[in-house]
Amino acid sequence: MAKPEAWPPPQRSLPNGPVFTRNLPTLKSIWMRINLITLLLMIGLLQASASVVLGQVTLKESHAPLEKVLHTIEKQTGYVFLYTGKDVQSLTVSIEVSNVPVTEAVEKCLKDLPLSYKMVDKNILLKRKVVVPAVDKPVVPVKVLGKVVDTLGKPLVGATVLDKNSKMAVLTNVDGEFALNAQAGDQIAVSFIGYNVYTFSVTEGIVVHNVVLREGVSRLNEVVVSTGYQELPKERATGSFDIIDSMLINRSVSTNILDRLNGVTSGLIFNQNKQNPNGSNITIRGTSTLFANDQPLIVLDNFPYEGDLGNINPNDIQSITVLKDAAAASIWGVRAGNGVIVITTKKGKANTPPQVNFNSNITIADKPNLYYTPQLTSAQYIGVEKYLFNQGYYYNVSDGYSAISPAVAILNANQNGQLSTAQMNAQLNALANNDVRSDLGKYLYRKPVSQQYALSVAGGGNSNKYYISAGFDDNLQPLVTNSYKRVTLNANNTYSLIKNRLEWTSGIQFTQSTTKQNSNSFVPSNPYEMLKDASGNNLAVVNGLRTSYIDTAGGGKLLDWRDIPLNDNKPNQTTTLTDYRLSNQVSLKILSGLQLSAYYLYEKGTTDFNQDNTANSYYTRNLVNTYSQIDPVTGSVTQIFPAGDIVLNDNSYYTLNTGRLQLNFDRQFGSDHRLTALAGYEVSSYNSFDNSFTQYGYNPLTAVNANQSINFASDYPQFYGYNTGQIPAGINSNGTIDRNRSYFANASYSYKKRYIISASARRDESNIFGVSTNQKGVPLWSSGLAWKINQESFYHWEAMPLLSFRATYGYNGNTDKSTTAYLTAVSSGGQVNSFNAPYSVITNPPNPGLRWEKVGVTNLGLDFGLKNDLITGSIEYYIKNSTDLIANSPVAPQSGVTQFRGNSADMRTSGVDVVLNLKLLQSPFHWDAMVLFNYNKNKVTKYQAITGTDEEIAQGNYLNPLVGYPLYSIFSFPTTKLDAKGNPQGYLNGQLSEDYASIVNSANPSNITYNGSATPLYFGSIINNFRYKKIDLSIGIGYKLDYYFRKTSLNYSTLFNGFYQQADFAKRWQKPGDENTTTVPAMIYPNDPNRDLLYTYSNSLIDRADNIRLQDVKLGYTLDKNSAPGLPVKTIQFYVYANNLAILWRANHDGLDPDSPFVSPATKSIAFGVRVGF
Amino acid sequence: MKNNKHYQSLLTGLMLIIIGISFGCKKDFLDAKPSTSIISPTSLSDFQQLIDNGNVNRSSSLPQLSCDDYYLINEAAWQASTPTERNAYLWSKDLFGGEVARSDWNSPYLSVFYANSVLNGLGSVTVNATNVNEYNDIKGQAYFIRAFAFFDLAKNFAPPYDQATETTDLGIPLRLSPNVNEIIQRSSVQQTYQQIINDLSSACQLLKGDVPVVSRNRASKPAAYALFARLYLSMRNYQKAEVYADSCLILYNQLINYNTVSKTSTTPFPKTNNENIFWAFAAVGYNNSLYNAPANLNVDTALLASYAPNDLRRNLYFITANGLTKEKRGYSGYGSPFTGLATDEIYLIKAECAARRQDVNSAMTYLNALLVNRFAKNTYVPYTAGTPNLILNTILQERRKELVWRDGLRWDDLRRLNKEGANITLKRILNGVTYSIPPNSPLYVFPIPDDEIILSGIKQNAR
Repeated sequence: MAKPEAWPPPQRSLPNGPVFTRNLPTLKSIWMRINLITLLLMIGLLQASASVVLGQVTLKESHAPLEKVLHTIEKQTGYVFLYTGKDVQSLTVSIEVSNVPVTEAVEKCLKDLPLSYKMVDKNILLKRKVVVPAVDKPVVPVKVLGKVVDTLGKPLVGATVLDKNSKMAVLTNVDGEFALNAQAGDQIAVSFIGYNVYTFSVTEGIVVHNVVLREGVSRLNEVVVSTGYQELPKERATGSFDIIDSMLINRSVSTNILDRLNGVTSGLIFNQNKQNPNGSNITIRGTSTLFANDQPLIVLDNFPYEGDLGNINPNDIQSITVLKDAAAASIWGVRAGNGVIVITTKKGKANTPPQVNFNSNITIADKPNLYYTPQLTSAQYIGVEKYLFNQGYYYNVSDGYSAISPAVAILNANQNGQLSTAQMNAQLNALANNDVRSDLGKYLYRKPVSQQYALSVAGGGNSNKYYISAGFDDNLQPLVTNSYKRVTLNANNTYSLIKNRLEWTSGIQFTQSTTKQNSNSFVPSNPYEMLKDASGNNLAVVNGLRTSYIDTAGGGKLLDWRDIPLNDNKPNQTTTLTDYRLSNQVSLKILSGLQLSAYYLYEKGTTDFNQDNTANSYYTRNLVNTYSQIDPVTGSVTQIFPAGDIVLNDNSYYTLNTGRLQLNFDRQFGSDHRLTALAGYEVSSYNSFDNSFTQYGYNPLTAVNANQSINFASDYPQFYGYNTGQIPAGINSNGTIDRNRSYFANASYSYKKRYIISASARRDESNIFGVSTNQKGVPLWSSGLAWKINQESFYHWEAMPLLSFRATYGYNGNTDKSTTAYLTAVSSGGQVNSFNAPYSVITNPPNPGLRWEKVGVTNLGLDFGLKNDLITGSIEYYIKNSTDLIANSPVAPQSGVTQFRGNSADMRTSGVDVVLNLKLLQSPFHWDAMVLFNYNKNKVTKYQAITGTDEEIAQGNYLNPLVGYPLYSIFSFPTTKLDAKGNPQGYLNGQLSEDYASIVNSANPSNITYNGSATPLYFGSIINNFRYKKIDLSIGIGYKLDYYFRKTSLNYSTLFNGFYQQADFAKRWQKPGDENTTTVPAMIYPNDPNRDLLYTYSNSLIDRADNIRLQDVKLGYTLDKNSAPGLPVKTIQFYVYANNLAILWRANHDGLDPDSPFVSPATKSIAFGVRVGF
Repeated sequence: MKNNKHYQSLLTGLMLIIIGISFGCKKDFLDAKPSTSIISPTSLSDFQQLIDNGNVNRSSSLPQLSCDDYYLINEAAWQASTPTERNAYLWSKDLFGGEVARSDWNSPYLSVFYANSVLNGLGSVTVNATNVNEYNDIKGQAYFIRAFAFFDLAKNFAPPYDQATETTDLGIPLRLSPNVNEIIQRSSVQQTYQQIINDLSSACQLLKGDVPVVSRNRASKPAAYALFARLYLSMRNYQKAEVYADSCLILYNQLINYNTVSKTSTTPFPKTNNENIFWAFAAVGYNNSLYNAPANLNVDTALLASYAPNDLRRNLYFITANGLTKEKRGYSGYGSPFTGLATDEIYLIKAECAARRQDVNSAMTYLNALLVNRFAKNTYVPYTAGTPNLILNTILQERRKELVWRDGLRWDDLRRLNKEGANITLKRILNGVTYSIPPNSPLYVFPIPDDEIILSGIKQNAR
């Protein structure tokens, strides 16, 4: 049975009853009243269908007299029409209906006739309408009242109610109510971004329209952004936010939450092949600082997260908001300079029965590719050793104890006459057939396997909601000795009290992870080392001392001095991280729109590190022997190290106490004005303490050590050679206190929902050391505006129903607490000097002019949406001007320091972020796509310090920034082809030169060439999602364009020192004429390190790093009760996720992964998982 | 009932919030020190800890690389060395071969920075009757450290002191403040030595009179006198050198009887040995050619031959193995050579100065007093009087044998004695080629490292 036309809207699926009766009891009566007519109609219908068997009308008439038609209906339905004859005279009607209810038939009949009808019981009254002359349409003013709510009954504040005929529009107030003067017959459209538009027509008599809007398919713009201080609809924000919803978070499989941002977050890049090894792993919109902290701030549920990020279970995360510009991030003040990542955990929903979800997956990855890193073959390396041996390079052969490689030992034995040349060659040939990588692959590495289990229960009642979860991760890492386990428990509860005026939320999170590693993990020292012999016995390797020496040293009185790696190949090091996080939040509604909230967070984390070097480990035996003394007369052995294990302990903890008081205000004034504001005060204290100690002669059975028997001040001679050493006391403790106090406020005002202006200000104060209190704080501010162009009355472009413009400007900050204004020193802790006195070391020369770093950010954004969400998206342009950057500047060594940190640099970063969401195909085959495109370029604009030498600039531009160039740049020495002897030729002041020392140490940057940025100028990703029935498929492609990398090649300095992992050895210049085919210099002796530096940093080793890769593919198969009625659970999804799949295109022709040119890149992995909703 | 429980928890939560927030309102909330390990040195013990860290006890190693205490056994050994080692060995014009961050220059200036930081910081310490002695002692130590470092730099990077040219010869940058933003140009040699004298004079007045029993890394009055004696000897002001040698020996004159020292130990002398007045050591381990007894060098054979068979020094200073003779650990009690001050040096200064003023008896007395402790028990035959010149030569020979491998002393003696007309030319033969350094050559002044020249623009030495 079809429902009556007028109300409720036909597309609605949720019943309205429970929503309104529970939450809005005062509305109930209104609701009842406005539905009276509908109800009457329905009652009538029910009776009709009860008394007449057929009850439906079937008619086919053309220009038939109305009376005749009415008569037919009477006959078919039993209804009786009451009318006066003149009203229906001469009226004819054309109608064709089949099996429709009586009301529908009546309406169709009367549609084009000047008649209205009314049903009373089984009587239908027909009445002549007032005749309206077409030219002079009479105005029937109707005051339309109503309320706009979502499907949960929550009032939609600021929804647009537009009279399509008069073009008049009003906005709903804080309670979602509206009032509009319209005329009968006007079409009224109610719209709210992210919801489907609902249209109704104004009729006399029906004045109250309650509208329930359903969420639209497009989720781009109705998304709520969370800044950690407030949640607001994205459409009311002026700033730059990027939201990663739970669908995108769950798209990939990983143990770590941040890994899941890769490829789905606009403007965020994962820094692989980092130039600065201490730099942040992720960067939002490029670097804004030189040497200060460059990590984005991570906020977890309102507060900065100080613990280990690995402790956050991705399965507990609802959404992530990335704050990118000043207006978005300035609320975080001095910590926002590098962008902010706000992570919001899952919460329960009120009035929902318990929902149980279970997710589990197992990920299997390939072993690291040990053959990716280039290395000399065993034969090549033995050749080098032979060459050096003949040159007399191994002069320490004569000392009798220094380590020499097996090949050098053979060569030496031959020279001493202990081996014939034939024997020598045979033994060297045998070595040349070894490849240590095969043993490494066999005994040290495995395929890493990660298992993940997560179980959660969420739900809520009338006055509370809850979310409880447990997670377990168990990862076996590529090294057979290494593993990681994590347990997470999470519970949060929200209670609504005093008629929902008071809300209290409390949360508890607990995480414990255990990492096991082997501190003595074997690193081969030559390419022909073997770990097992042919009969399966573990072999000893050369380490520190010569094999022939340790075999005889001490005449049997010392411990076994051999290093047998496979005997020590077990985990001996455990790191346990334990984190608790307790949060409380109380919010009180004081007045309509005004709310006072108080927050308190307590977080505590401990790290327990234990490294047990057992008495029989090589580490311990070697130390004991090194410091053993044998009395030459009596032959008695004195061991300085007491017998037993050597155990390194490090226990650290941190506590965080944070409190916040905040007033939120959100109110609609009239239909045109809306003010949202917050102001607050926050205080936090972060204390950490670290305590490390070493136990010598530790007995694991009794847990007793023998430290008391050791004199730590004494210098003990070593058993061999001429060195002495102190036994490190290994006692160290130190603590930090990081205190911050902040005052903040922000406000946004919107006028007619078209114009939004926002402003924020924040003052941060911190216990920066040695700065007088009035300099401890810094005020930071932002302002912004948004213009909803599509809300303007002149805007009629139907192809693009969504168009708005945003602009913001403001300041974020950054601190470097390692620098202070005073002369500071660090004390030695428990360690004493050789004269048994404690000491301290100056760490920071005084810097009275120290200031905070500031980043001025301009952001311009355009949001748009084409009709039917075919394409929605945004384009943003930003400029970041970083000033007062703390820079390390080289200082003349006469000052006593070689580097000085001070506010001495400026930098400018600009870029474009484009996000496009495409809906390419709908039902039954769905195809949508997300396209991210980012452009980012930075330039150092001021750098007062004198930069280093050209070689230092080429080697580490980030440490020696050059004004006018990006902080991360690739610079190289221009070179031409090798000379006739295989020597590289560079340029010094424009002249061809082989004066390597002068070239390398030149401090004239015009002698080096700028090749390009080391970070991609263009990057982004394309994610295609396909769905057909129960199957969905998502394919992620990432690209990084226009950047450069430096290839590794041959460096004789390191090669001669035994570093055999080098490329291009076979390509080196070997005979005249080779200079025409190769750029790899000839091997010379003695080696000139500057010649190596020239080649290592020459232009011939620079290549473009551009690449496009097939990042990941996810395939899912989902069953629910609708599609599979026999299913014992609500939903079940099976998924397969494959990651790090392939490089589709790369600019270099060497087959290198430019993001990991030297060591094996992240290996392919595949995960199988199941997600169940009970 | 259930609601009651809520209210209770709520109340607790609110209380916690209020406590937490009010804590942050306290006035001194932001005055907390950000790290326990950070010290803003303000107390006297803070300053003493800065001095005790060993950074201020380091000296240059270049003079040892360049002197004739040793030779490299073959060309391969030379080739295997670093550029600075190779160039210093052959007295090449280009000493550093492009190597920068040389501790030979940086380390003494680090000492100067510490000394200046302490002197600067002491300015804000309130002096009263209870702390005045300690205050003066620490201040004296700082002056001493600065003098020690300036002198180390002057010996290496400025020409030997010569009264005739002291105002035109370039000395070293004299940094007297810890302000790292300041660049100081080179002073004259006259200014340099005057500053060292001023600092040492201050130190002499302030320092404690006793050599510390354990903390030999700390300067004392005898140490300041000893450094004065060394300084004036280097300046060829033998009269003043003798006065200060005397002053030192009045306060501290202990000698070690080498008969009591283990002949087999590779570390015969502890750091706190009795002759050690001020402990310092060579900063740079030029490991390939010098320290940790590499296999590629031999102690000068003529020098080795000069020790009499009953001279205990031969076996306490050197060890012979595999046909090569190398140094043992000396008075530093440690792998790096000793560069500090010891009584034996002062005895020799006293003897030399006495001889130079023709006081043969006095010279003989001090020389014999030292040497009787160096020979096997009851075998020493004291030197007897001869012509002053003969005595002087004997003293200089004994000085050569006694103060061997005291990093820097030999090099400074070569500079000084050649100024006196000793006409010593050092020679090295490498791969059949003979290299030499003539007396008073500008090659006796090391070039200043390139990074210093680039960053401060101070004047380079002509070589």
